[in-house]
Amino acid sequence: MTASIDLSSYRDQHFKGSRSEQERSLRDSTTLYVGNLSFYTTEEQIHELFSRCGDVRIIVMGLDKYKKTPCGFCFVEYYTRAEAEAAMRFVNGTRLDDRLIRVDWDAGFVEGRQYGRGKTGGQVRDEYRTDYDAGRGGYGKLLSQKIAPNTDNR
Amino acid sequence: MNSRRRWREESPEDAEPVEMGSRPSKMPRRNDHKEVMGTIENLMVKLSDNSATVQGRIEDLSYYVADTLHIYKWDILRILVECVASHPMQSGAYATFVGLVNVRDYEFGGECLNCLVQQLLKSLLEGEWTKARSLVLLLADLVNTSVLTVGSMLQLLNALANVCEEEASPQRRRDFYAHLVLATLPLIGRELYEKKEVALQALIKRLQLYMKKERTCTDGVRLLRIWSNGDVPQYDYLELLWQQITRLLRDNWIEQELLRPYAPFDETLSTALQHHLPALEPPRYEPDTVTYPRPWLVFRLFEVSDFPPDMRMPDELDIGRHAIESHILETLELYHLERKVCAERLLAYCVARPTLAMEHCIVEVLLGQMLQLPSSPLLTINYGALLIELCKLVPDKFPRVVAQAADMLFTQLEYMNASSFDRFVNWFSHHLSNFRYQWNWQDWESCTTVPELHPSSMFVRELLKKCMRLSYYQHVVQMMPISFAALLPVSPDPNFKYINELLPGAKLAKHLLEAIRSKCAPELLGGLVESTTELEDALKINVLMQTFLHLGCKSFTHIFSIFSKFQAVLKMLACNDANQMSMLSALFELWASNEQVKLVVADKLMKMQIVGAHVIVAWVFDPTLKQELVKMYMWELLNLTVKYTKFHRRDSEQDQDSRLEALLLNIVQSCVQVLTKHQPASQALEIDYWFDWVQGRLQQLLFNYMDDVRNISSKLRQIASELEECKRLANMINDYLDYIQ
Repeated sequence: MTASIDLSSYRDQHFKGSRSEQERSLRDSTTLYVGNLSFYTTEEQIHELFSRCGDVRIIVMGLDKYKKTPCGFCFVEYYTRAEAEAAMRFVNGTRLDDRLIRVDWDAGFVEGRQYGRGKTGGQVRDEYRTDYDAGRGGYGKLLSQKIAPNTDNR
Repeated sequence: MNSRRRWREESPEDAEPVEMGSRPSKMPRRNDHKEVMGTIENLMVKLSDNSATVQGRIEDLSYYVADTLHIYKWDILRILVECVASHPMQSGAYATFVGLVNVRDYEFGGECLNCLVQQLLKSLLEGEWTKARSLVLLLADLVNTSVLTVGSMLQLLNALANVCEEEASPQRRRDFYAHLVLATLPLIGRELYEKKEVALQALIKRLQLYMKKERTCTDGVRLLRIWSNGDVPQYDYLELLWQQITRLLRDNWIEQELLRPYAPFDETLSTALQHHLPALEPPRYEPDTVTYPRPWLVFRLFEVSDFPPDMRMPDELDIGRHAIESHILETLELYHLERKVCAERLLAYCVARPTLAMEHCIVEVLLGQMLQLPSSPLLTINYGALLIELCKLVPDKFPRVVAQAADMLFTQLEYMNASSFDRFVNWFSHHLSNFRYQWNWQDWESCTTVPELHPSSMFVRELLKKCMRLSYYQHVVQMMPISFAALLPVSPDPNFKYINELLPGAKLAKHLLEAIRSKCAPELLGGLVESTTELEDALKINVLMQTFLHLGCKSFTHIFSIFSKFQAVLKMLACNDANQMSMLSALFELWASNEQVKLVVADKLMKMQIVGAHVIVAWVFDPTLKQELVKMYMWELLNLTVKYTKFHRRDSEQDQDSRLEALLLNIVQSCVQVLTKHQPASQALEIDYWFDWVQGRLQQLLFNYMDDVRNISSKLRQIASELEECKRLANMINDYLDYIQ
């Protein structure tokens, strides 16, 4: 009865430690990664939803590395594992700010991890995607450049 | 055919294909004990899968174990007890399995019964009530599968019924045993009627005497009523079961809804020799050994007229309804953590009964449990997520039923208790946020014409505030019809009054702002505040706090990082309760329009150990905040202080316990004080809404922490006895104390 709280296949390539250390951290973690947020979703909205599962210790908004504005993900940390599991079970795959969000285990916030790792500063997925997503800056970055080259993306 | 193939694939060696109905001529090799045990366990657990293939599975299993009983007997019995304990509604399938084995192996049947009786006695002694009940149900079904004689079972039932006649025993004990006996009757009522009518009548008479004469329904059950009026059906669980049994009796014990997987095996089973049960005496009553189950109420939302015309549902006094609900509750208990699996199982149950209004029943059971008193076993969001999943899987049925249910709850709001009300607000706001907030608000227009504190009006106000938290202010404003204007939340903006340079303290504010913006050292700030001698402490703290909050007004992260940077200054200033109160006062002033920020920041100050929990209590019950005390967020804050005090490890366990007790006592005393001091605003109003809300929320807090409050029962009783003028409050406290014994 653990499908909802099982580890996903994602592993952080920048994690400082071995694979098995990362997995151990993930299994004990009280920190969650939340993805597919709109760039306009606020910390307050996130706090409200995730508080339905328990006491939120801290939220760290994911930011564009250059613009320092939200770029569609965040970390939510609880005080206890049980509360984090509740979020995996009852919030993952439901809507926040009218978008289906993804909740996954995270090994723990480390300074620097709040920044997108895409070349242009946001998340990697926003570099390459080809769909139009009004909540995430429209078309993906590469495609945007093709449509309107020399537009300053910075 | 399918089920046979499946288990053969699981066996280590693949046997030859076998014709239906004959024993396999070559059994798989059994030299690996562990693998065989694993297969047996797997097959036994699968019996509870309640599907069309259960018949085949039962048969397969009974063949598989036939040769090896003498090796695996005890393991099989152990697994049997485990499976039945967690799946009491599947007792029929397991009884069938035992019955088929008993046909060939009489000894096994006897040993099984011995084991079950032993386990039953053990669970009654140790207070494992769910397990006891499932074992008794299994024994009842073993009558149906010709393992046990009818007379033997009647003997057992009568022995259990003896407890009902123990005049000196507490009602909860007697109720539990009455429940045990009544629960078996849907399963074997008909069999008892056909074979031992006179004895059955005598048993019923004994129970009737208990239910009608001996049983007094107090023990604080009053407090469990979700609704304060009699119109919406709420039944004491035992009283309802009794009435359902009475109806069943009238119908000559013919029961349609329960699954009877043994029916196809009737011919084979009837060839077996039946056993007698070893005698069982229920354990004697020993005070303070086990806690008997507390009473609960059964919730009904829909009436027969609410179902679509082509669907029916057995009405509430029909035992079939009991069977269906028990099944839904069992599924929920087993799978609530995995919403996809849970939804699938519930839907399978719907599909198996296409003529019944199963969707209505499921929604009713889920919402009933979500709203139940004293508290619900699961998080509100658990029910919400499950309902969302059901709506996703069956979009042409469930959303409509959920909407219907929400509407019915809305129409009954004025009778709903505060605790259920809060959960309704939280659930519905979350539900709406997953469906684009689409709702026909005009249907609820009645709430715009009632007094401000009337439950319908409060509901929409609180609901819209929660919707605003999950979305944003403009969105809520634009989604509501104009007639709802008075119920809209205010725009949740901060108000930094020291912008006005003429205000006392504004000069200090300006200096502080400049200092902080020029990245001064935190110590400098402390110095600045100290050196401002012309202002009182309270004002200085107000200025400093509001300055911090103003600088951090963009987001929680901003506020928290300022608090973190200037933690030393804050700690220094928070040297006494009065100063801490000033900090809270500053917060509530600058963020007057934003309940979420007030709540989250006050909680943060407590968790940073800048403001003490007891100070928050004093603040919440401050006379100046009287109008805020009817609102949900104040009690969310209060409950957070209790949770923090209870779970945050700081001191030795003893200190922590006494700290928690002191806090709870403080809350009760403070609340009682504001309630007794309260004068209704207008004598003309028959209902004092303010009082209802505050008392209701106090009751909710007490229910949330029953085990801890029990430790201060005597003090609470003392408080209640001193409430001469406030009978209502005294009654609530006394009822509560009776309930939590």
